[in-house]
Amino acid sequence: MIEDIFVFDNVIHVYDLSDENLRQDREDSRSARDHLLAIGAGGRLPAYNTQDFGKRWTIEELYEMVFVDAPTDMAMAQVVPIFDWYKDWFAPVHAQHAMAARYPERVMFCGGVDPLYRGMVDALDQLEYQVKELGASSIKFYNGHVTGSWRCDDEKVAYPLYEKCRQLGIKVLQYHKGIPFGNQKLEDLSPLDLQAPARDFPDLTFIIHHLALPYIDEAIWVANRFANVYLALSGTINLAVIAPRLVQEQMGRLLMEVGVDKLLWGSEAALAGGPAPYLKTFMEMEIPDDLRSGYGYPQITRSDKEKILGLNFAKMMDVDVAAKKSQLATA
Amino acid sequence: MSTAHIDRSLLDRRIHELNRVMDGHAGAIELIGVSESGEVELRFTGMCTGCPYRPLTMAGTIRPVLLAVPGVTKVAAMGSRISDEAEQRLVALLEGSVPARLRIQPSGPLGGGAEQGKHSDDWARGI
Repeated sequence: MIEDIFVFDNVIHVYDLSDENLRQDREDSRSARDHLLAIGAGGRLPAYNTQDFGKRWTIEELYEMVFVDAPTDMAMAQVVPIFDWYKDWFAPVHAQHAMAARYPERVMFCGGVDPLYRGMVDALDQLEYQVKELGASSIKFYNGHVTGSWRCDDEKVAYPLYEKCRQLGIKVLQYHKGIPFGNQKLEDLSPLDLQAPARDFPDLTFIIHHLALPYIDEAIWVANRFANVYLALSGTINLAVIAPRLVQEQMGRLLMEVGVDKLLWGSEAALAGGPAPYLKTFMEMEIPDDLRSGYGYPQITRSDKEKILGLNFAKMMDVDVAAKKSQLATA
Repeated sequence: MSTAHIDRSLLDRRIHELNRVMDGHAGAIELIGVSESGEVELRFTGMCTGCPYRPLTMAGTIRPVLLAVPGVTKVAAMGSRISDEAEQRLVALLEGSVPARLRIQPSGPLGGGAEQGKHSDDWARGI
C-alpha cells in the first residue's frame, strides 16, 4: 500500500525471453526478442539494468520486484500469446499460473489463447483448460502477428472465443493494443476492432492495454463511447521519466474524456523494471496550470489515484479491498 | 448521511425530463448512483457518448436542473469532468451569453422556467 491506498497492478508478466524459448524455425526470432528487450531497456531506470532480462524469469524474482521492492498489494500475472517467435510464448501459460498458485493471496492468473496458434478447436479447449483447471479469472489476446493477424471483431474467428469465455464465466477480456513487439503491421493493433465486440457483448468487459499507443485518440474514443471498455495504463506512466509533460497531457485528457473510473494501473514488470519508481512518479503527478486552463483538463486528485491504482480493478475483479487489506496485514 | 433525504422519484422525473431535451442531441443520460452525501453520478448514452461537448451540456443543461433537486450536492458524469478553470470559464460564459429570458431557472419546468419580461437586447449585456 501507499499510505492507505490499495495498489492492484493490472499487469505483470513472468517472461521467458531466454534463447531456449526462441523458435529455431524462424530467422527473425532473435531480432524480435532483442527488439522487445530494447523497448524494455529504453523505458527502464538504469538501476534495473544491472541484470540480464533475456532470460526465463522466476516467480520469486518477479515477486521480489513487485511486492517486496514496491508497495504493490495485488497483481495479475498475464499470459501474452505471442507465438510468432517463441516456442512457449513470451509470457507462458504455466509460468503465469505458477505465480498465482504460489502467491494466491496476492496474484490472480490471466490466461491467454490465440485462434491462429493451433486453430479454433485448440483455442477453445485451451480456454476451458485454463479457466477450469488453472483458475484463470481473465483472458488476454494479442491479435497482431507477422503473418495471419486476426481482427477482434471477426465473427468467425474472435466471437466464438468471447462466447466461450462467457460460458465459462469469464467477464474480463484484455487486449494488447498498439506498441507492436516485432515487425508486424502496426495497424493490426489498432483498438478500433473492439467497438463491435463491446457492442455485441455488453455483459463482458474489454480492457485496452498501453493506451493503444500511438492510437491513443482511437482508444479514448472507443473507451468513452462504450461503457464496457476500460483503458490500462500498462507501462505508459514509465514515459514520465523522459517526457513528463506528455504523460501529464495523456492523463489530463483521460480524466476529462474517458473518466477516472475506467483507468487501471499496470506496471508491466518485469520488463519495464520494478513498479516502485513509477508508483512514486504517479503519486507525485499533477496536471499543471496551463493544461488545466488551456485544455480544460481536471486536476488529478488523491481520490483519482486511489481509484486508478487499485479500486477500479478490484471492483472489476470482485476483490473486497477492505477484507483483502485485513488479510494481507495479518499474513 | 443517508440519501433518503433526496426524493428519488423527483430525481428520476427530472432525469426523464432532461432526456426529452437530450433527444435533440440523439443522446441521453442515465443515473449510475447517488452517494450518501448527495453526489449524483451519471453516464451519457447514445450519441452523447464520446462527444467532446459533454462538459457544456453538463454545465449548461444538466447540472442546474439536478442541483435544484433538494439534497443533491454535486452532479458528475464520466467524460464531462473538466478543470476548475474551465468550469468557471464555462459558467461565466453561459451566464453572460444566454439572454436572461431563456435561462433555465431552478424552480420551473426542467427545474426552471423561462424568466419573463426581459428585453431581447439582454443577450449582449453580459458578454
